[in-house]
Amino acid sequence: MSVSTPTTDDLADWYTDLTWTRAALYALVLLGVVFFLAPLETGLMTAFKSNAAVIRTLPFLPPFGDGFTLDNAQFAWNHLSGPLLNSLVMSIPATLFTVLFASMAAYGLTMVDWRGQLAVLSLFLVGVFVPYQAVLVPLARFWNNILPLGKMVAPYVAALPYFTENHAVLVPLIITHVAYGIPIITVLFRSYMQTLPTSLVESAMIDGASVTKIYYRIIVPLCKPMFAVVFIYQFTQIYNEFLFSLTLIGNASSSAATVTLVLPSLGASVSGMDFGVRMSASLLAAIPTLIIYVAFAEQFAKGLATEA
Amino acid sequence: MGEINLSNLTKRFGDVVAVNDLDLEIEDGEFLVLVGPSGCGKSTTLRCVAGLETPSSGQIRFDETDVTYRVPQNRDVAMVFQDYALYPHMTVRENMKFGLEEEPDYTDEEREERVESVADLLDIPDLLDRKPGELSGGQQQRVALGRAIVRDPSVFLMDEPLSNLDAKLRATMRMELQHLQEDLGVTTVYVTHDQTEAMTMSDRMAVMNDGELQQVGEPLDLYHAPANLFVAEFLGEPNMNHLNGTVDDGRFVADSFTYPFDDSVLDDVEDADDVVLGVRPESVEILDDDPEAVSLGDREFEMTVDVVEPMGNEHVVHLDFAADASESLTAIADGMRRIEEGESVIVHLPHDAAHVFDARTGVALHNRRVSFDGSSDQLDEPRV
Repeated sequence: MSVSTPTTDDLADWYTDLTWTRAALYALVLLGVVFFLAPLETGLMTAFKSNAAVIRTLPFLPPFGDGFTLDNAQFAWNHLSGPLLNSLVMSIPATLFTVLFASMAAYGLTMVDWRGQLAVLSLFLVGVFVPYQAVLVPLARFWNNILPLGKMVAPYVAALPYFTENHAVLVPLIITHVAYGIPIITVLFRSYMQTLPTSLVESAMIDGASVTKIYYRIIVPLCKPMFAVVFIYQFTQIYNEFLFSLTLIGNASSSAATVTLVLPSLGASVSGMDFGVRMSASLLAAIPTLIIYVAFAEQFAKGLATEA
Repeated sequence: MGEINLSNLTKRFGDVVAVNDLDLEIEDGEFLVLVGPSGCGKSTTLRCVAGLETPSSGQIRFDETDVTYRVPQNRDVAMVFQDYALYPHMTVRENMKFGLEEEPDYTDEEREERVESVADLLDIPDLLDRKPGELSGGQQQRVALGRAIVRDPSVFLMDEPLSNLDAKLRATMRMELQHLQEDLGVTTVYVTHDQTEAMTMSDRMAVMNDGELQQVGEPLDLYHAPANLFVAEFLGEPNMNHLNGTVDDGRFVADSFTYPFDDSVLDDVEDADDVVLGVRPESVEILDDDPEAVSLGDREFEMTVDVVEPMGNEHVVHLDFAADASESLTAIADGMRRIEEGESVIVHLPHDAAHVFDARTGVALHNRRVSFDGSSDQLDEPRV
């Protein structure tokens, strides 16, 4: 407040600062912006073009006149609204449970002392490196033959509004995602918790706080930035996941099909590719992750900054 | 209410022995300072008392109750950490109330009142609704102190609580802490590496080195009658003069000078050969006489002034016997005297100023005579 530069000088300052290297830098930045944003812009434009306009006009130009249509978007919405809901019903609880359990596990493995800690931690580390493809068959066997949880909960799921018996398959799917997410999220939380001063926990112990109280009163509030990071990461991960959905749900025509199952076939047919529909559907499918990123952007940045 | 008893306390981290066979009794209401160089095991000892570390062997008793393996939650102690450990996401009020939440005999209003009264005591009522990040170092320190006081524990544990403050503030807080402790009358164990803090604040101090307890006693006892060379050199600023030599024919013989011992010293020294002569800088007298004009007395030496450090009230004078001599002395002279570097002076070491230590074990053989009753808790066994 006390020191303010007179605004009249700003333009002059800017002009004198404008050397050739600076101009080149700006040009490079601009090029980068175009390079990264052009595909997005093209997709957005194509989403609102009729088939004829897609063929006749340059891809990145906006639609005009007869070329503009909302039919693609309408079509995409009609086919994707169900799967979109299914995806959210799967992703949101799966993300919440993963983050909750992983933060607890990390707390227990980092801030609490007990025997055999290292052995358990190494199990988590191994879990990070198990590839999805390797477990697909056992996974299907497990949920279909050994523990047919989907069939067991089907009547209860069907009793809920909107849902059908088919949706019961989402329950084992959620559990699978939680199980698969916990190792990596635990490791992320652990590395963050290791940067917290141990004296905070010690002080809370001396103040009489129990292990659980230290977790929810001290550790959770202090890990807020990390919660944002893993929430975004894990939500995106689960929402975009394809293999588990394919294995457990089976096909795109199921009423429980997730977005990732339906999207590949939308707008593709033997007669050719309907680019308008495909672009509309893709953008529609991307909206939930976009919302999450925007909502947590500030905390996310904080989390990345403190982690570095 | 707050008597602490450590017996044979040993803490090992792998192969490293942090605390070795420590015996210490702390009376109720006492202000005991654990002091020593970094890595001497003083913090580990404190953390064992707090319950943050489990001793490898030995026993910790509070009021005759064995608490060696009790978790910190059940020890009724409060601790002030070096980094204050304030919870950054809570306001000062919440920070101070946190420890009270687990105390069953308070209602919520009583907790609130207790926090406010302690805040008044520490002169921080206007900080109650701020977050720790918005406070200065000194204010954070007060809050940390308040958080400990609020719980009204039977023991305060303090781990270098003043070391992050600037020198001026540290001196003020030193006095305030002493007053607080006196008023509250709670047993306090205070860890520091700063001998000034230890000397000024403690009822009794315990000097540690290398995981071993060197000596316990009242500060002045330890200063005037150190049990060994380590304690002698650790206490006092500037350090005690340390002169290596041998006892020969009733005299102390060093490379550059000889110093006759009087009978009381010789009785104590007995048949030791290699000894260390220790003389406090304030006992070294620089005489006004011109060395050219007078002849030297019995315990007088001609020395050259090497460096003079003016402190204002006094000068710290570094003296050499000769340019290439291995021995030198540090003396304290009055601040109003003119002493030039390079000047030749006569230095007198009074006969009753000598401390004599066994050069091999470091054990004190003879301590200088002082007028007050120097009853020091000397250790029975030599421990160096």
